[in-house]
Amino acid sequence: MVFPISKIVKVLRFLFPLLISLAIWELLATFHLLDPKLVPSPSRITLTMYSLTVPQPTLLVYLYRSIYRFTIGYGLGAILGIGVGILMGINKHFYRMASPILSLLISVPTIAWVPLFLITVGIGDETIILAIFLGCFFAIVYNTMNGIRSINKELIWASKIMGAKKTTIFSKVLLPGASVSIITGLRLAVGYSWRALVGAEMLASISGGIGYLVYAARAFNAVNIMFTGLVIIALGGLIIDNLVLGALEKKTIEKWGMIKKRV
Amino acid sequence: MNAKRLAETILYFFFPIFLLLIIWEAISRLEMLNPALISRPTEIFTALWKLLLKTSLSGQPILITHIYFSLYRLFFSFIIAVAIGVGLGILMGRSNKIYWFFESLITVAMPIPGIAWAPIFMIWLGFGDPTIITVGALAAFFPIVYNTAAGVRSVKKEMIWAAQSMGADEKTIFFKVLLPSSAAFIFTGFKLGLARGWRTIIAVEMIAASLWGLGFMIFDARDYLQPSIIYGGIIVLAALYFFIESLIKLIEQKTIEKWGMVRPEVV
Amino acid sequence: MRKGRIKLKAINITKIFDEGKRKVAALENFNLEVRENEFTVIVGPTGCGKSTFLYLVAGFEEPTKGEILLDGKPLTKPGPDRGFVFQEPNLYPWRTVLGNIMFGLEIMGVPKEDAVKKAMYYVNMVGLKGFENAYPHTLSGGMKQRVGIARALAYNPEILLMDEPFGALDAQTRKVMQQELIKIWERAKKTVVFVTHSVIEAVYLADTIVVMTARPGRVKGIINVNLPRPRSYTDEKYLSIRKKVLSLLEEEVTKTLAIQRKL
Ligand SMILES: Nc1ncnc2c1ncn2[C@@H]1O[C@H](COP(=O)(O)OP(=O)(O)OP(=O)(O)O)[C@@H](O)[C@H]1O
Ligand SMILES: [Mg+2]
Repeated sequence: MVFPISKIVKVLRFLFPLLISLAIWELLATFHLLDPKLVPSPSRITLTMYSLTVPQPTLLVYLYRSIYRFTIGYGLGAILGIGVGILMGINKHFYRMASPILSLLISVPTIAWVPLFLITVGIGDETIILAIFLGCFFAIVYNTMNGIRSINKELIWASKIMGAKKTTIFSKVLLPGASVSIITGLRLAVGYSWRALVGAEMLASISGGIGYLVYAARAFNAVNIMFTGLVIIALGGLIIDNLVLGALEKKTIEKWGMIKKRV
Repeated sequence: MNAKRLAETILYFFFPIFLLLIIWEAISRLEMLNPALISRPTEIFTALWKLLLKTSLSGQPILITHIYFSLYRLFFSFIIAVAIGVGLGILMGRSNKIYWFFESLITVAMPIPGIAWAPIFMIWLGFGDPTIITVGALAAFFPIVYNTAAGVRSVKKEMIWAAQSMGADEKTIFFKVLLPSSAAFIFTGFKLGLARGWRTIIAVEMIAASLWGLGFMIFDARDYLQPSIIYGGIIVLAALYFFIESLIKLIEQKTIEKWGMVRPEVV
Repeated sequence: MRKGRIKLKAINITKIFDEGKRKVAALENFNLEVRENEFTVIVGPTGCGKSTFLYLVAGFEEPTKGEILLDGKPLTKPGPDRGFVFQEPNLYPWRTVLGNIMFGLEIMGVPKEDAVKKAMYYVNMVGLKGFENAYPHTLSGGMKQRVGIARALAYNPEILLMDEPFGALDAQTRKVMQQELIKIWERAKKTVVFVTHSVIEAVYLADTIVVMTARPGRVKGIINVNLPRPRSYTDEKYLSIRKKVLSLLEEEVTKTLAIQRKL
């Protein structure tokens, strides 16, 4: 694959301010203007990352654990969320019953459920996965439902007059018509789930996970490990969002011109 | 006629919730759920009611004080986030260099959940309000600065030119053109920032508060195995946020919408 | 000209929209006969119920009173014996030009190869050869509208219902489209019910012009246009018919304005 010059320039333009900031930070640390016990230098953070990966890939094991939990929680949330969202979108009665409950639950911070799960489910993976699930579920339900409910009725009519049956209307008009909203929801929900993961891992992990890494470091006042965790958390969120869902977006709704290309 | 409409709307809204509570109550009465783990709605409301009446040893009404602490932290976090966020956002909107510099920093830092910062700030600032308010402000800051910058940058050049050709000076342009025309964006930033700050404060209260706050109340109840207080806390959280949101909507209707400047909303 | 048999018959149609607070009577005792293979154009002041009538014929909505007979049988729901062209193109953004035009055939279960072949015929007919794989968002307004027309023709409905299909086009494109539509209609021999605001357009296209009253809509007058095609906009007979339609219409437009002023 060949990268066009303009793309490289764009990446450099993006990275440059980050590099400058890191350089200033490093300089401040070198001249002892920052207390290393409170703010580690970028080079120390990098070293910490290295020592956590070689020879023993502790960091990767922690990260793997988080990704494993995330995949299950988010996967379940996406499947069930889209399912419930579709039901609410196509069935008026179900919509009437469920939408008040949805509008209440959607405004509860996900983290507030964690103590409850700690009692009912116990400390460990299940609680964290449940939190990740709840983190994304409501947003996905809401966006799916909205997507279906806001499809132009003319688009549905146009298929009806051509003799489309209910199943055809559903799969060939409603679903693609709601895709912008569904994908937007999925994309927003990644952030919500990622946030829930970090919070839940802090409160409910006994071992492993990137949130646990940050939280457990508190016992040793290990700020360098905390910053390492932050870097991983930031990168992880960005990567899932851009690589996975960004690609899906390009292949579907961007191609169809239903959203503008991202600049 | 209008009153009837209102009554209908309210009925449609509350009926499903009541129904859910009744079914829930019935199931737990039939002992199909473990009562030590899943509370009945009646228990939850009794617990909430008691919490509302009970006072602590130092004579403070318990539930009200928890709510008060969370709200006051939210208030200060929000004020700080607005002051810095709007300030930097306007600078970013006015100068391409500043925009370019901060945009990548913000893009990288924004997805980090507020709570992930909490352990670090606890080392810097210790337990309690300083950490909670700072982390809350940090979380609220990002959407505010982002939307403010976007808003100022979205102001059409022609609008500024038009003002300049009428002889307006920098100050007039700022207050009479830039601010009003980016108001819708800035308002969106406030809304998102408030929501983000609220969630973060509740979360950080769980690990960094020592006595008060709704997050603390919920997390503390776990230690004493009191699920009904946790459920109660969740209900209070939902109700409070519902209330805050309605307030925002009202303000929005009175300002932005009246000026015809609504912007499509992304959750 | 010999009269064809009656294809479509609206008997005492009343349509009332119930918006809770307000009841709007869009049509009241509306009676109309449309003959087979004729080009019938409906004109009337804005808001008089033209779209409503087409929606009833399409089966998108149901009349409050009265009935509509299609080939002598009461009409109930939308079906592929009719084709509909909306005022806005209302294409499916996730389907290409060909995909949109093929949709009706796909619904009927026509094998893919045949469907493509048939659809391509209509792609050519509306002058979009070379654009068959383009997505709608890349087309101009006029091109989109032509896809809309091709989509309605492709599955070979007996009746074509067109709701101000050229309303959003510029004057030049509009003229070209009118000429093309007449060509298509002469070739494909269909019954057309066409709604427009423009008297010029009506006289250019119609065998029969139906003038409607202000809301609630009724038939105010019917004018036969026995001019040979292609018609000239400057022909004297053309102008005199135009005058006749205009004078019928003017009264009703004045009434509409008076109603709007009161509101
Ligand atoms: N779904 C609806 N609900 C309520 N009122 C409606 C609805 N559809 C149409 N109306 C009302 O019925 C009347 C007739 O509408 P219709 O769209 O048929 O008019 P029209 O003749 O097509 O007008 P135009 O030339 O502007 O397209 C209008 O007053 C309109 O407000
Ligand atoms: Mg109309």
